[in-house]
Amino acid sequence: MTDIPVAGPRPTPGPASSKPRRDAERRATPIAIKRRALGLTLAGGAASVGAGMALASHPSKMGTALSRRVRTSFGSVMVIGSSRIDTAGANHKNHTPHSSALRGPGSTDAPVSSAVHGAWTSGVIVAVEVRNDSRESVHMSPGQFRVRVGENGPTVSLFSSDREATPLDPGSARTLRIAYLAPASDSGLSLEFADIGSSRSVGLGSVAGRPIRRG
Amino acid sequence: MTQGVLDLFVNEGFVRMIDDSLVYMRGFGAAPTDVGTPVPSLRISPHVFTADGRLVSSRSYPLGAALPDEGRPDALGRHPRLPGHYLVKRAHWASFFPDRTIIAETGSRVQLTVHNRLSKVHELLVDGVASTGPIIPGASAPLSFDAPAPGTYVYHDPGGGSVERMLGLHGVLIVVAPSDRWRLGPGLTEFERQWVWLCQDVDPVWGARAHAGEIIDEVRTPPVPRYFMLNDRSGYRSLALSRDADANRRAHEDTLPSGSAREIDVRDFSLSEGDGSVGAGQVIRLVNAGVVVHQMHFHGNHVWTVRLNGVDYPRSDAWIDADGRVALQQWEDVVELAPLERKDIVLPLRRPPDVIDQVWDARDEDWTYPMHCHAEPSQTAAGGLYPGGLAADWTMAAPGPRRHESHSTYPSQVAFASNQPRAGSPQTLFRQRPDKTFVRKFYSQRLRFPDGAEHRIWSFEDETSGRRFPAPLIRVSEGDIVHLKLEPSKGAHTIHLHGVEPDPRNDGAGHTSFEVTGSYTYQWQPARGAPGDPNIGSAGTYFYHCHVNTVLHVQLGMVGLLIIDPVAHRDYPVPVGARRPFVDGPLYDTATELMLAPYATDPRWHEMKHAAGLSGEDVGLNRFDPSHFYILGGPLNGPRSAAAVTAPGQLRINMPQDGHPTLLRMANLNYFPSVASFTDSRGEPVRMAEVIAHDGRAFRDTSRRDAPSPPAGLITDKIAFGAAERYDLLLHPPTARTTFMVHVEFLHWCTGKVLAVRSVPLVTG
Repeated sequence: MTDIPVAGPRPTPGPASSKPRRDAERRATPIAIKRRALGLTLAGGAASVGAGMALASHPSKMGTALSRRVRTSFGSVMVIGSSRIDTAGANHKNHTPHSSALRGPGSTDAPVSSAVHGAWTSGVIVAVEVRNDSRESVHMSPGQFRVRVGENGPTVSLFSSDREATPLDPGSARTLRIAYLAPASDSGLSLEFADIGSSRSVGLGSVAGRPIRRG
Repeated sequence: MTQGVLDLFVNEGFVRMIDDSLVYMRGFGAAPTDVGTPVPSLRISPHVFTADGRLVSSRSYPLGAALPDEGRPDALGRHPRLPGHYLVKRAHWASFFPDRTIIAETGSRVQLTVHNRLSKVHELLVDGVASTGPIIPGASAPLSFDAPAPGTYVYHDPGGGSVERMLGLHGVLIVVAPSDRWRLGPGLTEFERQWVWLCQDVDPVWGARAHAGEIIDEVRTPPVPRYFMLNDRSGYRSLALSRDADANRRAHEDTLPSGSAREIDVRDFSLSEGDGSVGAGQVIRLVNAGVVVHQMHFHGNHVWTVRLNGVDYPRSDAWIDADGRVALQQWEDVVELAPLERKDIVLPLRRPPDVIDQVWDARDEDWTYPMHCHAEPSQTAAGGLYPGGLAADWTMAAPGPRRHESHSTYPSQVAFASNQPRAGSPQTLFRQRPDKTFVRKFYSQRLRFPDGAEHRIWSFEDETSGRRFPAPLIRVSEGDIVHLKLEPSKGAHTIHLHGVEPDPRNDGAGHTSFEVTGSYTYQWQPARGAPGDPNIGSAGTYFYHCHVNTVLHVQLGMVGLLIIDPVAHRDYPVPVGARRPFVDGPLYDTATELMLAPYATDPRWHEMKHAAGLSGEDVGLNRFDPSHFYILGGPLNGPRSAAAVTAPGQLRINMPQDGHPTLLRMANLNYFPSVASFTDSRGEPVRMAEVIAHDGRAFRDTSRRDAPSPPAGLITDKIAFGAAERYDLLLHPPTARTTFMVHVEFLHWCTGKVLAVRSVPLVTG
């Protein structure tokens, strides 16, 4: 299951607290949000739906058209879908004092907007297909994919993925769904792949061309 | 595999970093694997060579000793006299060790066979002990030696200087005397359990080049580490906050110290309160297998530094070496660790000295404090993601029966970095009537520095200070109830009082307490000292800084200095015009009291935004390339400089005939090491500095267990001090000269190159 990025409200100790906060309150609460709560779907073949995923996946519901397949040292990679999300809006709308998905146990305080903290309150989810056309297993980690902000902007590490770093068998293909935080502006986002076999990064084209969808 | 012989395979492969990228690395593995192997064997699990000739695969040692649940030893029982304190079991608990650890008992024969499976020559060297010599590709080499003296050793491939070590070919050898398995050696420091902390730096570019078969010249192309690890973990994984429960458990067992509060005496860690108990802390063996100078900073407790490179520091008749490094067993809150150095320290796990009684008495939960390297670029990963680097924590167990407290977990370092706990205006719990109050408000402004450059500075101001840098001085006395109110006004910030040790809620570290968006009043009470007692007293030199995206906010200027004065003791009176730096310290002249703080700027950083890097974007916060170098500070008393940036043009110091000497407080606010040297006007070294304290703790002669520990200053012409370290020096200029100089070298943390020298005249008369 892909965790939807939530750079949003966090539970906070309130002035009424009469005892030192427990560690469970003090530390940030789990940020995984069931995708059902945000009404999102992601692209991906049925074969990639693993146990525990909250929603069915339909390629038609991804925000951008398929990109070109890019050759790599072992086969190819390709963006098969992407979608922007506005996590801050969704979190404010869906948060309740008893929303256990957002808040740690025992907390009764109102959250503070992450906009104050400064982290990006938007996100992008990309679905990529990786094919291993070689005769050997290849390493494959979702962290090999990074979003680039703008033409010459920074690249961005992933927020979450539905896959761990596991090898890709020869002659097989895999779909990964990877989430990133992203600026809410209209800065163009593109995806890059670090091909460790050739020690070079390849561009996979723009992602999330649609306007931001609110959860 | 030959029985009794540990096989090590020089392998290569790709390793997942904290951002899930894959980096080419090498290592001494347990089985032959190839570069394409999905899970390459690049390190061994811990093994023990016993004195009776066995080789045992075991994560814990001593063999057969009780295993502490999640690494935390349970207490023997409550302390008979001290509320909230516990007794520690003597010689009872096993310690868990991280991968790459080889343990050898004295009397054992360490037998290794190193198999070189790569295409170039490799070697295994145990520094100062033995080496395989060069091993050609495809060959194997035995290495057999008697276990050396008890201590901490590094084994590594010395190829390319630091290159092969940086690529991963390193590990740790611990030698233990079987007769003294809970001591650093026979008659040496005793402990409850021990830890190994292996500092590692990773440069993916070096990795890619090595994978391509290039020869890497560490001098012509020095490394630029992008990842920083402790025991092969970084960030949230190192803090056991991942969603891998097994990995979290292992981190608790072999990296994150924890235990019950206990009373200790640094003069003797073997004191007992009764049968089966010992007044010991937990030993941490710090090992730097990386290439940068790490500065290991502990919140919550100072640590007692015992050994360097296998040799105990002296407790008396100490010295400062030619490089300006102090050789003395002492308290530190920042332990400098140069590449390939090993330092053994004691984490006392004692009541944090500056917590107020009411908070201590009400404690009913674990208290967790960060440990991190204060060379702050090491706190990043992939150019941002603070705190995603070399970090750990330690926990003081809640009173009473053991409880397994749940903690939030994260799917990634981005999730952790972008979701630190935040609070609006939380309440100050157990609020007392303060003796001293301070307000610090955030500001942002471009300030002109002495060299004419303007830098955008974020810092703190109070009601009357105006916008100055460093932030206004906080000065309090031991025993004061202090209130420090933070008003961020913009964004989320904290104030961490570096070296001051209250409860976690007032410690100002976001992930163990909260970041403030409205206001919060930090409350703490500096502990009083007593003459001759090395265990108590907080008088000294400190600083305070924002602990949100710390790597950036401190560089941007959210830092100020803090001084704690002692309370006068009847046996150590203080005449008018003088003061003591600690309760029984020597008198100094208040009129000429000075502060100097090296600080350098990388202008690129000063254009970044508040949360740069926290969303996962690579903003290059692992690369600190300063181009402007300053010595900030000046006189602490007398008229305030009109300049917004306080930096002295020259300083007046006392001659002996003027009365009491001048006290010079030095604080390194930079991220790189510095060396201060004292000369005459012609540049000849002058041994005029008496170093009397470090990191807020007096230097003392602690050689006698049953007697007071008098102050013990050290005379020198040079003192080295790394990032975040502070030293207090009394200046004793010779009577024959009138003008002296203090020169401060700014050194690169990796290459050691002198980046700049700044000098300040010290004028007498």
